[in-house]
Amino acid sequence: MLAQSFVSILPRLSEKEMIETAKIHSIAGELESSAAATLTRPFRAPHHSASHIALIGGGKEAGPGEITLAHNGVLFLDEFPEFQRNVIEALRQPMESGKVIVSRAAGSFNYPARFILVATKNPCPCGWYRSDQRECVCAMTQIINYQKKISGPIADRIDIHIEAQKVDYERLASPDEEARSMAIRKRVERARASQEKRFQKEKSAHTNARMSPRQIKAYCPLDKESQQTLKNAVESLKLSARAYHKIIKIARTIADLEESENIGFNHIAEAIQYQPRG
Amino acid sequence: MISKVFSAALSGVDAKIVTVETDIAHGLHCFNIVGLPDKSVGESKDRINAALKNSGFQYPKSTNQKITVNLAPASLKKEGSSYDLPIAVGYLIASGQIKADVSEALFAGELALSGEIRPVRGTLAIAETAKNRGFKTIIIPADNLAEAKLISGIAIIPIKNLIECVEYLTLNKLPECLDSRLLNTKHRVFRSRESKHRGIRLCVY
Repeated sequence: MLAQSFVSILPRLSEKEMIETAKIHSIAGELESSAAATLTRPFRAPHHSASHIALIGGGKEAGPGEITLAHNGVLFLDEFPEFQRNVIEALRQPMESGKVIVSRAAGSFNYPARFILVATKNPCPCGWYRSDQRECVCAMTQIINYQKKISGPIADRIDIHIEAQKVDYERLASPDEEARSMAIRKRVERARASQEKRFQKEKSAHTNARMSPRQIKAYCPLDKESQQTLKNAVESLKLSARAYHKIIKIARTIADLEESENIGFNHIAEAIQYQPRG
Repeated sequence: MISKVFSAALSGVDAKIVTVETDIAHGLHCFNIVGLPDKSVGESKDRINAALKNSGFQYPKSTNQKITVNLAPASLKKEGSSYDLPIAVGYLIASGQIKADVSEALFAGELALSGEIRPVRGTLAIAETAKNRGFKTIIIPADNLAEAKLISGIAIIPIKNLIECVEYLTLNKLPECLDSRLLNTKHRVFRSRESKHRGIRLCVY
């Protein structure tokens, strides 16, 4: 439910994005003629039995897969560990580069695949590991095997890891969720606008997530306190170079959402919170 | 006589221009489509025969003619049913049944046996490629209008059947669905005298 409402807080498609998205869906034969002009960001939620060809693209005609159909939108993989291992691992390159090259006898095609991956998983097969509500009934080996299904490189490529908490009854029943989505979307659009301003001279990046290491150095100066916090986190949590850059990018985005010019200590500290816990 | 009509093939998320050449020679009846067509393109022969017959035209099987259709570039694999319309128009021109200048127009559409036009995949990519390659007009199934009109700067003629297509090409008569549907959606129909297709044309901005 949370993942589905995610689309409602994303900024509206720009004209260029709309044409890109409509083109992909038109080629896949999935564009309803009346829907073309009022296109929203795609939300794709393939079932966990999907093959890697269904996700990445391929087949006899080397057609686009779910990741390409989710271009400029959201790819939602519910019950992430239940996907076949090769399907999960095949996401590595597209997640990094935002495109996928599908080569078959029919030819070699370069499909765009810049999607936001939203994946969910349980902490263990029974679902109650580390819960304070109920006792987990899984054996330790089961829990380890379950968690091992998401490999390190994949977890490392996921920017934000959040443990979902139980939702209170009062909030479940509250009627004003839609109004809140609209308010959040306004904030997101403001943050996007400030990012566009920041990167107006750059050709390769338009959002914080797409910054190269060079651009991170140029656009994300850190004060002494933040640098020290980040250094401690990298050393104690044994973070990768990718995770280091990721934390700065997330901190930049948090600062943008708060409409703050510079990245502060609190932004870095919050970004570190979103790293996976072992 | 020989005719040349343009269409497009889908390749990844883009489209490539395909030239549909039709040659009609005297001889025993024979209707061949060459240029790496797949089964669905090969089957278009039967659809074209029936659609032309039911629209009141002379059709390939009714005459003793050797018809060769070449989809160029011959090295690119062609698939799908969107070549029905360009092949039918190519045949009509090559057989001398209609006279029209189609050098700046691009066609895509699947024919029903009755001569109606059915929607095809990838019209948006086709419209974009057509615009980038300097085509002035694209003639597409009416059902694909909504997606094609996302591309501005090219005239889009949405047609419902073969007759509408021929009337547009020969008499410059606009298809019916244009006025009613598009005028509501803030698109303008205007007169253009500069272009080769004189008369009323639709431009989508």
